[in-house]
Amino acid sequence: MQFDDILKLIQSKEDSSRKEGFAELNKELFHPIISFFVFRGQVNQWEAEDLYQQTIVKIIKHIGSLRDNKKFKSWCWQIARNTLLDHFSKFAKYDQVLKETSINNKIFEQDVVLPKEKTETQDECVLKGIQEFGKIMPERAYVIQLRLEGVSIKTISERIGRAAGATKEYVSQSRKKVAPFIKHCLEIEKE
Amino acid sequence: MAKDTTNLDQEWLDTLSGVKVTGMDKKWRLHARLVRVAFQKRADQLAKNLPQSHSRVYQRIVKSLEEEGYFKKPSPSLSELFSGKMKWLVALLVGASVVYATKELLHFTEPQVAKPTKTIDIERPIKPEIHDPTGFWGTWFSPSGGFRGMGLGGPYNKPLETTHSSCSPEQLSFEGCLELANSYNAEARFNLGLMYEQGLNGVTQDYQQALVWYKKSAALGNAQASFNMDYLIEKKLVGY
Repeated sequence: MQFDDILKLIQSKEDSSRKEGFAELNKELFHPIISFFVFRGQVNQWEAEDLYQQTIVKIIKHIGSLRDNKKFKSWCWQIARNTLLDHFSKFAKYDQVLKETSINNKIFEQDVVLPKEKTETQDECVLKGIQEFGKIMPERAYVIQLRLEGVSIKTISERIGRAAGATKEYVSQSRKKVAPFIKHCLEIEKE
Repeated sequence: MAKDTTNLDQEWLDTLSGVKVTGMDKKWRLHARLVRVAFQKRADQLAKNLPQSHSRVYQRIVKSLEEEGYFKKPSPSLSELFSGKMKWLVALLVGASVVYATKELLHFTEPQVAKPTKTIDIERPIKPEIHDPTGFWGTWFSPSGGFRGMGLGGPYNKPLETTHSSCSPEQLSFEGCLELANSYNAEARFNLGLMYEQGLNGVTQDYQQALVWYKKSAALGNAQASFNMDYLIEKKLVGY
């Protein structure tokens, strides 16, 4: 169902229609928003579910304040992002966001040296590197995850709250950003 | 050089998305594939758990929105009503309704067997002036003190020895019953009340007299007399 139709149902005066609209909205947003909280927010699944509940309740409660019905979907994502930021500030995780911003500006390939364990396979080494990457640069990891799923730049920009042009540039830097975290793994097979 | 890097970035992203790119640097192709596998593993881990939590989270949100008044709460089924917090209140109301309904329907029209009794009885006096039938106690308790609808009589129906036995359903005589009744026999008093109420065996129908004998029988703890007394009063056949 299209978001326009879902919105009409949610704004309906009939209780059954509103419930139907909510069910459809839940169907559309559950997986993407939970993934957003888990990968972008670096929270566990239980926390992600709580945050998702908060997001949906906010959407339903404040549906009257939506100015442009065409922007319903991006408005929902805006609420999801704000919910995550509220969560960060509540648990002093906001520092992580700031840290990420500063790391994004400073990090270079030669700066990252992860210890290499000889017993681990290349795949295990890469997975470990990617997990580390996800912790340090959650937004970039989330963007790569979306790109991998074939999500369009427009949708990615909607979810991370950046302009489409900036998002394109942001995505294109992924290779350089992720490389330092798995560079050492590429040598495993050679040894 | 910058153009090469841009191309490489794009090729890397395409390989990451699963697109086959020809002529790409082998090292970076391997790099992109390894990253793809690692990300895929992370996503699969999450996807494995999500379907189970979907309906649980959905129900939780619906409940939360119902509590906040954004959705109407569905009216609870009978089983939910009995399992909820109000189950005791509901059970009490249902029980009281049954008691009330039972009380409304009870009216005994068969004469009773007046058995010879053994011990001496102390008659409990009835004080009509303090027993208001429209008040709380009058509604739920009979003048004899028994709880209406439950068939509970007073505790004063002690057996009394007698030589008369002509006051039974088979052989109902006014004189026999009167003699027994004067010996504090509750059943005989009930039978007298019944004879006055129904006009049996040549007795002239007299509700007021029936009430008197029912009252006397009820005073001895006869529950049926108590019900019949209530019946006469509530049907407004007598003035109380």
